[in-house]
Amino acid sequence: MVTDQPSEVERLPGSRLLLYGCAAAVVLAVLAPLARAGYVLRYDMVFVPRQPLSWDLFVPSGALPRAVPQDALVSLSALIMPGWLAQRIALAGLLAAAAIGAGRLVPARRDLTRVVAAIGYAWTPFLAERLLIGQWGLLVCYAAMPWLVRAARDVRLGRPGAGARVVLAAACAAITPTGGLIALATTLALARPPGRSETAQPTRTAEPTGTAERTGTAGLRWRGRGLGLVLAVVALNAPWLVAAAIATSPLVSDSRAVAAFAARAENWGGALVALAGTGGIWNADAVPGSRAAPLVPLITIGLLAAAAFGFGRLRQRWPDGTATRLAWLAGGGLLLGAAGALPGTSDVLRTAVDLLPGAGLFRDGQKFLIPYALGLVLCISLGVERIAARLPGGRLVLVGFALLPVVTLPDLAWGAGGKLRPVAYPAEWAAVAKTVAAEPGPVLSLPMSAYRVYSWNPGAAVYDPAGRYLASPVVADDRLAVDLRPEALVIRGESEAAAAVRERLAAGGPAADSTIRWVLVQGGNQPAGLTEVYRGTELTLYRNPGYRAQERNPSTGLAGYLLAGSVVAVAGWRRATTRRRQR
Amino acid sequence: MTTFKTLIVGAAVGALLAVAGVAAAMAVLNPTAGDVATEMANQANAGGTGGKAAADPNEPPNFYGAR
Repeated sequence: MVTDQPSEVERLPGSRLLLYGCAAAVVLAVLAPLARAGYVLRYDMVFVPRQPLSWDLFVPSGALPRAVPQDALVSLSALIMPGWLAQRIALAGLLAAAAIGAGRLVPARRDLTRVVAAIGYAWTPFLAERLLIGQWGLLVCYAAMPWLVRAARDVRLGRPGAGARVVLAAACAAITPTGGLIALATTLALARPPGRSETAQPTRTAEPTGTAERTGTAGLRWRGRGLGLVLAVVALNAPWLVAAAIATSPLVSDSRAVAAFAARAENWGGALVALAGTGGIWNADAVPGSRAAPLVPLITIGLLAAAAFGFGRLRQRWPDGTATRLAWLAGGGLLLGAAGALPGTSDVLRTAVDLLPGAGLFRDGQKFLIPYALGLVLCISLGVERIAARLPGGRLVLVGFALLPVVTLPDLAWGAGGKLRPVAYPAEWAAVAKTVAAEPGPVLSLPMSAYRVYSWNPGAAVYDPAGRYLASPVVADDRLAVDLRPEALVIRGESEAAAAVRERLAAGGPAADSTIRWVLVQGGNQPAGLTEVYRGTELTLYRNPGYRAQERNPSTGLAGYLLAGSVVAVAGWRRATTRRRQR
Repeated sequence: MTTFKTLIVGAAVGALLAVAGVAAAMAVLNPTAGDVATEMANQANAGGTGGKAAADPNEPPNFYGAR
């Protein structure tokens, strides 16, 4: 297998293909229903036939840049492939990358340990829950994390071309703001030269290290390279940072969402045990049913014990201090995940969200479990390897632990128990999109709701597809109503245009003012004072005769893309050059 | 002797997997009383994310998600 291996490796026949076979099996098991034509539309996951290259998807003006640069990348992909293909490539690619990345990263002595890590990381509650809530962009970060950690460790070991690999892995991770922050934290924690105490650790493995302490000019150059990497990863975050800086919407969010989005108990074990098992997402509708099984907390505790058993082995096999730093990073992620659910820290988080621009990113802290999930899987794999070495029939133990994630979370298979089901957009969507594209202008989507449930996409709420389907800025409600059982909470949005529409409608006024060219009504009643231009069974499009074109020049927002794109291009070129030299 | 011990370990691993698998399958197939109550409430209110079967099938759901 293609990995940095300790000596005394137990290889299986065809071991090179084993990991790739596991990844393929996981992809097939999870995404088999996507063999049918159509689009999986679920919560935040919205793909459309051809996502347009519109300013608002690159640099949202009236909302926080939550899907920057993810939406821009999907729009660019639409130049060469249809949306249904992009969706399948993204989902299959992230599952395969997660499995292969974890399998290659773990410093194992047996091929089956790699299989434990591969299946363990690609079949976690975290992955299932974020898939069910449609946050595929965050899962790209999840998939990139093993590759980022591996590259960062290679930087510490002084391996050629490692810096470029850090940047490329971080670029994949940074397609959402949360992923960008996780990539930055990982780079800061791991892609630094080892300290004096870390290099002084005894080396008990045969793995060669290049971690000798650098002194003098070499040391300065070494530290300069680390700083350069961190700056490069900061630059990868530029698209959303610049978009946020020039956005007209307020950058502080509704702090009441901290309680709504806090980690949630999935069984009798409570929220902390759910988080320890990489679950605990806030939304009960995005939790696989098997997480409620009474044995889950006991299995989680057993896995934590195995991980504790394996952590010593990880430190031993990564004697350059990477294991300890990864543990700190994982601990930090776990703490952020728990922050909203703990009495003291939730108050701090609420205050931060109230006062600090951008702190709203931390409201749904469970997202930050990614480094923890990776560290946990690595430690469990090595712990199991250690247990297997002490028992007769050790292979059976490894096979058993490789199957354990699937057995305890069977409802991730078959499109998460049939919940990831492709559907076709009714033809009227294309008709409306064509009309709007012929005369581009801001569209108001009614009735006021950020999310919809369609008869043709039963069982799942989905973000209003109009924002991605139509080649014009779409004004839609951006508030989120969360059922807290028994009471309900409506989380305030940031869009001032949506707030103005709500005020007009509440006062009995017209839905559209002079800034709105089109009004798209999805069901509901006809708004007054508008001219109907298209009527379908579910969609009706109206033209606003009172529309006056507004000047908008968001090209400054492209500076962030230019910076990040340049960094990726340079890293890609350096990676290609290094590979050519190595051949 | 080693073969016997291997058999014991294999049986233990198999039994543990079977118990975990049966428990998970039961949790998937048998919703809790709370789940049933929630589903009924959703249907009654035409709220929740999956319970929109009332007058207008395309009317937005009452809630984005539920804790």
